[in-house]
This record gives sequence, structure tokens and C-alpha cells, in this order.
Amino acid sequence: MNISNKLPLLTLALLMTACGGSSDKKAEAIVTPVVPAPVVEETVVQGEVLGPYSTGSTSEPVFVYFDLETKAVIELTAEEAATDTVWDIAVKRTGVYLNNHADNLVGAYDMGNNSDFIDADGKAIADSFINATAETELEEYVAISLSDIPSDESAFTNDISSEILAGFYNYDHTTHVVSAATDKYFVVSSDQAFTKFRAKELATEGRTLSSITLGLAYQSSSDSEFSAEIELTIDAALACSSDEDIYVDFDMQQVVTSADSWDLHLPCIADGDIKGADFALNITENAVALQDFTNNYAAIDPSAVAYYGFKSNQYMVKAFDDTSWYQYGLNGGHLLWSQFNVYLIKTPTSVYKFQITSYYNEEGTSGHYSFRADEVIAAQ
Amino acid sequence: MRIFSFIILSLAFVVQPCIAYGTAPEIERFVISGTRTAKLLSDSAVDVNVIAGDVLAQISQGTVAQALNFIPGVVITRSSKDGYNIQMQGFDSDHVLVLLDSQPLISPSGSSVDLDQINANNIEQIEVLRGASSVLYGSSAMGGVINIITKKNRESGVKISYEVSNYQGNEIAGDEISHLAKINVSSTILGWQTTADLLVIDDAGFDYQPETVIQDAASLEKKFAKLSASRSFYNIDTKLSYQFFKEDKNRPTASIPGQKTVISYLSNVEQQQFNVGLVGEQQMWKINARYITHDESSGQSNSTRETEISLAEIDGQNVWTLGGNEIVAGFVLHQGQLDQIKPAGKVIEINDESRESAEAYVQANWNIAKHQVLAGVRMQHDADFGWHHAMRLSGLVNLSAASNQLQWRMGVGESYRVPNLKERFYTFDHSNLGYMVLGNENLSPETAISFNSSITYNTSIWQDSADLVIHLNGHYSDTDSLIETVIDAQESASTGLSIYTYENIANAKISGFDASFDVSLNQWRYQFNYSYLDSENDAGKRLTARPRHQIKSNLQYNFEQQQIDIIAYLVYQADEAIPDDYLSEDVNDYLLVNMAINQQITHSLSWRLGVDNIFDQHKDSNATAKRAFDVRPISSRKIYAGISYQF
Repeated sequence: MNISNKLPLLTLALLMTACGGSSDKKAEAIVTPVVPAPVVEETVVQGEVLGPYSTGSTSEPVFVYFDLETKAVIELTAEEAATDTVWDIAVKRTGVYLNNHADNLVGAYDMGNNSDFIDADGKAIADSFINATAETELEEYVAISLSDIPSDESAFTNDISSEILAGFYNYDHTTHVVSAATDKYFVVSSDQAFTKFRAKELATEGRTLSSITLGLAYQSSSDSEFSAEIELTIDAALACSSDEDIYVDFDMQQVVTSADSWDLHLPCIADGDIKGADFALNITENAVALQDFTNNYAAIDPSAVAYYGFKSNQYMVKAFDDTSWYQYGLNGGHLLWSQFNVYLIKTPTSVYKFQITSYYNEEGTSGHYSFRADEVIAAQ
Repeated sequence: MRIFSFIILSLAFVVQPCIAYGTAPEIERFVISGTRTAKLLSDSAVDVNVIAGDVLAQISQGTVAQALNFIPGVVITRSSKDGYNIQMQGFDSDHVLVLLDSQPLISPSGSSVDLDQINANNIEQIEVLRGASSVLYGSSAMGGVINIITKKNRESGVKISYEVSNYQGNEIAGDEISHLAKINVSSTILGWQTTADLLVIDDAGFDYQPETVIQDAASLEKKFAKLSASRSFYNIDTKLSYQFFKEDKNRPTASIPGQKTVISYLSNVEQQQFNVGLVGEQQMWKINARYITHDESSGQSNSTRETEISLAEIDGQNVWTLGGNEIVAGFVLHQGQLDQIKPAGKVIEINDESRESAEAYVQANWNIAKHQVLAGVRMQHDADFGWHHAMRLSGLVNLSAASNQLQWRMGVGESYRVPNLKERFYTFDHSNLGYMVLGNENLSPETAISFNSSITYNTSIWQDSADLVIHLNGHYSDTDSLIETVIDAQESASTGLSIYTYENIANAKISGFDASFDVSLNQWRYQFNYSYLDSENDAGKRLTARPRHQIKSNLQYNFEQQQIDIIAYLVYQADEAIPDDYLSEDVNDYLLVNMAINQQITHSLSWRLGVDNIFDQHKDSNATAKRAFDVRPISSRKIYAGISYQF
């Protein structure tokens, strides 16, 4: 038992001893003194391993949403989680997610405490990962205190939702003029072909896009590079007059209807009586795209397409994407080891430390997270 | 050291001075693998290497894995499933066909066979055909064929054998002794010649680093049973047989990251086979039907797979003789089925898929003076990829006036391997780690054109006191449409994962030669073989996991009076191409030396003693984690002693 817990009891015992020895009558005559409430020096025990929490299987993964304040799992569907402000951090298979709701914007900061698990060439040191356990990494975890929180708020990274085709126009904040970002190219992969496009010209009317000219360069599955760019001008004001959104098929390089096999979608909006396209472009559900803002790609190598970084229409850049919390296959098998890095997780009300200790349950089934999560407090 | 002293003392005790009286000439053997008909080895137009069953019995009483490592030019590799596979002429185990009594064995992956699941019991001989053999044996016979021929006519009686062994220096604490027990019964009941063979192996496994939780070889238990009955009706031999095999393995492989528990490699296999066969007079025709089931639960304990395989096959052949010429024609009807799931995630990896094929072959053998020509063709129609065929032309030229003294054999032929059900239908989902491997239903067979040429020279030396056989063999294969996993660009783009699929994409050229000599002098016999192998893929790189150099050598001595046979043999392999993912080259050659002594004390009683891998050559167990290339096998010094009694 901690001595700080014993002191009040000893004080109380002494006081009671002092009162003892008198007769019962005397005792009745004496007014019992008010014993001041003992001052208990609170000791917070940190480092308890929580979990394991199952994130389902590879074929049927599920999110585990966690509230750091109550150290409890919040049962939510993905749709509910999008508007929920209680959960702070979530995991699904190897992915770690932060709540990016405006009312509970959560950020993460990597303490880098085990950066020496990676050598100078950026390769994982197998022994460091394999020999690390929840016990060996406890001391460093517990030692992290308020003084370790970076004063610069920008050190914390949030999960950011982005649109892959954002940036096709420029907006002059001084003149409020919108113009085509002619140097911002996008490459779309769809229907087993690639299309490189940019906005070459655009015109506005009210707060709508009244026309846009796209430059399109097509690379079919039998081509080795993009063809010469052709222009496709869309009269958005006219097209939106019927309240039908605008759809473009890259194979045919022309405007089509929603019933056709389209690749690019321009939603229509109205600004009062003015109808036109919104300042947004979307790709179809099965398509992926990348931003080629340096006009780097004259061709896409189909055999290496997995390595270009194609993304879906709306994608999330996760804070944990920049800092992998694990290493895979260190012993030649299919196991995954935590680096036992400690992350500071900043919510609107507090800062917590977070350390993933295992991706497995006792039977070795993957996708079962165990971690430590405690509020960062002053050094004890 | 104490072990060697013990062996030498044992020898001294049982051996008494003896004098050799002349040479016991070796009886020339019949072989059947080259033509599917019995032929004298010297009359076979196809180069066949024969290893006698009694020599193999000196080497192994358990499975054929150890025995096959004795065969020159054959490379035995240990698989990730703690089994053993075979390589020949640079072709890996998926491209070498292993037959038991001329019938292909099956394996969970659909191609390569685990040699440690084949009983080495009652082997008459093993025949080795080098090079393309698809005309007679169909799919997978690209690098060659290993045909294990079992004894047909056994004397009535009961034989009991028991063997103990110890992985000296690498024992697993508390389980130091391995056991092997065998009962062979043969009897005639109501005119049926019946046999019952039972074999139980309880292997303790071994461990190089007892201080870690990881073990290097699984502790395992194997049970083999075979019941057979045969009888002749109206000059037609009828044969019925049933085989049962059960195997349980357990090998701790890793601590679970972040947990205090351990993952083990587990394998539980149960295989059954039913055979019915009819053989006509003088073996001019035969027909056989068989049905095999193979149920397996295997893998790491945190993600085991359950696999169910079934195979139904009917094959038959007829032989016509016209003067000294011969025509063999036959057929095979085949149906295979594969179902594979991962119970933990309820993931279906192969959804009860099947494959049917019909095959027919014909091969003609002409005798022209003292030379021979062999030509054959095989047609296969598969439910998946349609028609496929292979042709082969072989010849034997007797170059010397003396009978069979100098013979030249050559052959050029096509071979193929049909895509297995895993390559066609597999779904390996690691999407949480960013990749998947998918089967491809549009695969076509892998193919090769191979050329083999060999010279055999038989003579007597040292004033006719010794026999010498020199054998030289060269081979060249050009393979095409080999199946490999490659990234699927479009699928990868649309899923955001790295999607790998099986494709007929790779080519390779493989060439090499074997040089051997065999000297028999009185009770001595010495055999030496050197094999050289070169290979190159499309990118001009050597194929991995293939030793460039191999030496196999053995010395046998027979103490005739005491009926003691001693055999010592070595296997040396060197210079494998190092895969790109290794950081360093630690060891790229190794030498295994083995020795065995067998004595027939009385007609009924025999004993044996031996040491495998005398110098305890084995892979450094930290090599994989360090990504250091260490070509030595997962092996251990093993000392064994056994006894047999025949009633």
C-alpha cells in the first residue's frame, strides 16, 4: 500500500487512541471533535491495456469507435459515426481513424519514442519489433506527461476528407474572379483505360459555372501513352436548364446521360433564376483518379498502376497514414508487430496518450486491437 | 564422438574376417516406366535410372523422402509445410510427377506431392525417368517421373519392425525419442492373396534453439495402413486395395505479437484411397479404377485452412506386339474436386470447384536391328481449356559390337502441366494489408520442349574383377507459358489494392548434365554422380532454389558371411541463385553424410543402426529473420536403431 494512503488512517487511529482510555460517561460528556477530512494524495494508475476489440475479418471488416474520456467503445454504424461527436478514435483492420467532425475535431501527434526501431536506411529492425512487449514499453508510456505536449497546435494532424478532382479552377480572392486552372491535370482510371484531363477554359454566371472546356487525352488498354489532347466544351447553362446533371463519357469524349456509362459528373445548381453547373467535378463510383499538378505523366504503366496513388472521388487522408504504427512480415510469415509508438491524441477538451500493444487476441486472430489510452497528466 | 565409437564397436563385435570369393554379378533389372511394359533396362529406349528396393530399405524404413535423396540428380527440398518435395533437371516439384505403381499421387495444392506422405514399405524398386514424359504420364511430367514400384508377390508370413531414433543435439526437451513401428502381414485366404501393412511413425521433431518458443521441425504422428487382395480368375488378375493415411503435425512458429501465447503450424491430414484393378494374361491389357479423398486442416493456428480434395480416375491400356515391335495405347478419365475455406473468417478460398479431363495416348516401339525407336503422342481434352497434346520421339543406338557395352539414348519431346484448381479459382484475401491473390479461370497449360541425350558404357576392369558403368547425360528444356502471379493493373486501379492474379507469363531455359560412374568389386560397390544445372528466365536471371552443382556418392559393402550390409552416402549441393529479397549470402553450399548398417542375424531376425546427417548440417534458424541466405536444409543429425522379426 502507498504510504500516502496510510497517513490519514494513522492520523485517524492516533486521534481515536487519544480519545480512548476515558470512561464511557466522560466520553458522553465530551463533544466529539470534528475530524477534518483526510487529504488523500490521488495516484492515477496509467498503462492498463484495454481490449482486445475485434475489427471483424478481412472480408467483413468493422469499425471500433472509442471514446477516450470514458475509455469505452461506442456502438455506431459508419453512418452514425459520421455525425457523432462522442467517439474520438476508431480502428478498422490496420487503419486508425480520428473523428473529424467540426464539433469534435481530433488530432494526433507521434511522439516518435521508438523511432530507433527503424534503421538509417528506413528498414525495420526485426529484433526490435519482435522483442518489444507491452511490459517493456510501459515505462516510456507512463513517463509521458503534460510537459511532452507540443505547444505548437499545428504539430497535431487531423484526418482530412478531400475530393480528388478539387483544384480544377482558381479563385482570385481579391477580384473574386474564377478561372480555369490550366496547369492542374488529373488522370482518371476507368473502364480499363486512362484519361488525362484539365479545365482549359471556364465561364461563370452568378454563382454557377455556365460553360467549361475540358482538355482530354485518352490512353486505351492497347495504347502505351496518352493521345494528343482534344477539347470538349460543355455549355453547362444550357445543359442544366432541364435540371438534369451533366455527365461525360471519356471513352466517347462527349456528354452523355446518366443512363449511359459515364465517367465524369458535373452537378447542376441554381443561383436564383440562373442555372448552371456547380464548381465541383466527380468521377463515377468505380473510377479512381490522381492529381498530376506537375504535368508529370505522359503515360500510365498499367503494370505499375497500384503504385501511382490513384484515389476514389472522395478520400480520406488519415493522420495515421503518415506514420505506420506497425511492421508486417518481419519473420517471413504473415504477422504484424506494433512499433509501440505513443501518440498524443488531442480532442477539443483534453490530450490523451495512445499506444497500440497488439493486433491479435490470445488465439492469434488478427484484427483484434489491444491498446493503452490515458489522459496526459502532470509527471507523478 | 561417443556415437562413432559405439558404431565402430558394434561393427567390431559383429564382423569377423572374411574372404571374398568372386563377384556376385548384379542381375539386370526389368523396368516398366519407359514404355509402360516390362523391359530389360538395357533394352529400354528411354533412359531409366533404377534404385533397388533393398538398398532403399537400408536407408529408410519410414517414408520415401529420405530414400529419394539417395537418387543421383534428384534434389529433395523441405517445404514450408514441413514436408518434402522433389526437383529434377531444374524443374520444381510442381513439374515432376511422382507415381506409385505407375499411378500419379495427389497433393492439396494440386501438383507437388509431399514425399513424407508416401510409405517406403515393400518397395521393389524406384525408377527414375529424366526429362519430358507427358506422352505416357500426362500433366506435370516435365522434369521427369519418379515411379515407385511396390513388391507384387510376397511370401506368406508376418513381419514386425520397430525403430527408435533421436535427433542428437537438437532434441525437444521432454520428447527426445522418436518411434517407428511396422507390421506386414501376408497370407492366402480362400484363394485370395491378401496383405495388410501398417506403419506408425511418432516423430519428436527437433529444435535448434531451445531457449526460444519457435521449433524447427514439427513433432508429428503418421499412420499408414494398406489392405490388398488379389486373385486370378480365368487368367485375369483381380486386385482390390484400400489405403489409409493420417498425419498430425504441430510446430510452434512464433510468439503472437503483443500476446503471451504462441502460434503453431498445424496440419491434420486424412487420406483414403480405393483401388480396383483388372490385368489380362501376360499383362497385355489392364484397367484400373481408383477414388481418393484427402481432407486436410492445416496452416498457422490463427488462420488454418480446411481443404477437401477428391479424385476419381479410370485408366486402362492395351499392348499389341507385332514381331519384335510393340504398340501401347491407353486412356485416362479424370475428375478432381477441391474445396477450401478458412473457418476463422468464414472465408471461402476455393468454392468446391472441379475439373474433368479425358486423355488418350499411343506409343510405338520399333526394333531396328539392334537399335530401337520409340514414338508416342498423347491427347488431352480438359473441361476448362479444351484440347492439348504432347509428342515424343526417343531412340536407342547400340554403338558397340559387344552386347550393350556402349549405348546412346536420345529423346526429344513435349511436356505440359495443366493449371491446378488453386491457380484457377483461388481467392487469397489480404486486403487489409493492401493485397489479394486471385485465381484465373482462363489459364492454359504450361509447356516445355525438352531434349535429352545420354551415353552408357558398361565394361569390366581390373582383369575382369570389377564391373564399371559410366553414364553421361545432357539435357536442355525450353519452357513456355509458366504460371506465375503478376499484378493485375486494372483490378488494382479499380480496387485501390495490389491485386495479383495467376497468368501464363513466364518462360525459362534449363540445361545441364549428369556424369556418373558405378564400380562393383567383390562385396564393394561405389557410385558417384555429379550434376550441373544452369537456368535462365525471361529477364536473363537464374531461377532460384536450384543448386548449380550436386554430388551424390555412396559406398556399399557386404559382409557376406555375417550378412551385414553397410552403406555410407553423401549429398553435396552448392551455388543456388540468391533471391532479391535477401540482404546477405551466409551459406551457399552444404554436405550431408549418412551411414547405415543392416544385419540379417537369422532368417527371421535382423537389426539396423544408422546416423543421418552425421555432421549436423542445418540452416541457421535466425537466417530468415535476418534475411540472410542460408541454403542448408532444415535437418538434424539423427541416430536410429531398429529391429525386425519375421514369423
